[in-house]
Amino acid sequence: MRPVITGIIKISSADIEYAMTRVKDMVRQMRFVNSLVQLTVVSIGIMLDEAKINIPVGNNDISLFLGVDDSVEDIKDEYFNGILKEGILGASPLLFPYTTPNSLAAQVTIAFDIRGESITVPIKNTHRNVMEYAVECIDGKHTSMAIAGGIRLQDKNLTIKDGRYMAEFFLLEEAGNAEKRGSKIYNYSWE
Amino acid sequence: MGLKNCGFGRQRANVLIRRVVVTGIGIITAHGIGRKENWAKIKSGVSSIKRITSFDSSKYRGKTGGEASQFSTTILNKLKGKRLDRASHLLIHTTREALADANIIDAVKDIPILLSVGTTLGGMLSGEIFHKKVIKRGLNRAKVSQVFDYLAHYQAIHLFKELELKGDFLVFSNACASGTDAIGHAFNSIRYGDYDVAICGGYDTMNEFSFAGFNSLMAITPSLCKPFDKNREGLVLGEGAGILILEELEHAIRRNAHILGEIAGYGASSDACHMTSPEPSGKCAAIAIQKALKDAGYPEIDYINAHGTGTKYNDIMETNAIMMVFGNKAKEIPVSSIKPMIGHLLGGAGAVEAIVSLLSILYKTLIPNINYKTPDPECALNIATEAMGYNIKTILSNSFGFGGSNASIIIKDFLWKN
Repeated sequence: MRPVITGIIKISSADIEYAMTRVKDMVRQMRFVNSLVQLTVVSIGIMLDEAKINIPVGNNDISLFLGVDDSVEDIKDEYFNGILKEGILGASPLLFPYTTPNSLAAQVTIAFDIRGESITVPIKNTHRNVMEYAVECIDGKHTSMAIAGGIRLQDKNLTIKDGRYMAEFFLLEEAGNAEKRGSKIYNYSWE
Repeated sequence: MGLKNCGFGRQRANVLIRRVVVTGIGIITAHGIGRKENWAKIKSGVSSIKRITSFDSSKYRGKTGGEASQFSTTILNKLKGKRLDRASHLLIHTTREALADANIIDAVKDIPILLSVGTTLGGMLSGEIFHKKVIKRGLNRAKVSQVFDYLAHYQAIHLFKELELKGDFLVFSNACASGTDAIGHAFNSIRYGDYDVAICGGYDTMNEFSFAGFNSLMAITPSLCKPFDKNREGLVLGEGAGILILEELEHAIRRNAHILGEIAGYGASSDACHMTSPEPSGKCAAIAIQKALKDAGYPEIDYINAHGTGTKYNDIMETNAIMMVFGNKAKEIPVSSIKPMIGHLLGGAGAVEAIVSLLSILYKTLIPNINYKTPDPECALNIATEAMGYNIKTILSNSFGFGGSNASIIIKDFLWKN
């Protein structure tokens, strides 16, 4: 099983408004709890669309491997501040589920009806581990396609509009599967 | 970045699949520290759920939890204990115990080891202290050193430093499925030849911020946790850690290790449904169970260690998933959850439950689902209510988490012939 890359996306939170013009109506009409979720869902939506993957997916053929760094702390902060300022009534049942790092991956699976495995890895270097993991899963025939990548905090002094977050994702696919679909295969390399 | 070229050279499909055995375990729960104490209480059906003492729980809907009150800190040789979160202490202590159990502790500095652990909260207690000080004194006057061990991957880094391990680590933060996913990854890494030895499992601590969150969702029971019972009202939180030493069979034999059992299969899936509620029909959780069974070569399952949180929706969904996979046989397989005894350990749940399941195979004993009184027609499974001798050879352990993360593993008795 030889994995190849059939989709690439890299979007800064500074470019989210432009990115929203590139997504399908289905994504544009979604409401997001926070900007991290929006950036993640929109990035993957554009990538899947460009890779000619029908959405909603509706099966377990695609898996998701997502790395998150300190950026996820921004979500926790909002929840924590609610409790600390208002006592236990400030513990928001809406925000609490988003304090778990896998909330971003969960929102992607819900948005695109992806039922394969979804794995969240919290780490500084958000991409290396998830890419390796995705390759291993395709190699081991546990999945035929995988979305792998992550969200990182570019600079904690930047606002969201200035590009606080960066989303980078790849679509990996078993070579035979990609060939059968007539996918564009990227000859991409990095160190 | 690690991958140099997206030609992705390694051809895993051609690699000879190796057998993966368990050679050591370490466990801390509300029941106590270590295998002996935990198993004695588990098989006796004792509850260690008590009124919470680490914070004032009087204002919450639920006031009890499974605090690991017998554990405070571990002995550290390389790191400074004062700067470490309780989560790091739990992880380091159980890892040492598991390595000692596997009789490999003196060799770990010399062999490449994979550390694969799951946690939902990481060093949340440190985060809690930091945030309280930020509110009190302002961000500029809060000490960043207080978040030294806050993020979820730091505990693994500390463990590496303390034990001077060589190799790599991967931390899974997949809500309550984290521990099972971590074991699954270690299992795959060994059987495909990336490592001969792996430390895997999960951990999480009791803290008020998470307790308040589950409370706000009305997920915490005001009474007893009663999985699969008609009158169940919710879950009870716990804390602790579970660590397993996985080893390639030949490697274990060569060093004459005592083999406790074998990991036979792992499967995972997503609900793609809701942030907190499970997909009600159980069809997506069934995918994870099916994948694990397929991975293990469809063995006969003698016992199911259920995720069994005691919430209305989880238990019905899990019942549906089990029925979907096993058909009529589902009503014969004994099922139980250990959460009413020690609480829901979140990221540590899957690992501790895997260890307890392994012990149920070793000691041929069914684990009781305590507090179960009134059968629920919507959870019409064969709930094991009493501990009893039972010839358990192969078990299925399920873990389902927030955001619809599902993971299942199959563990079996070790037999020379596969």
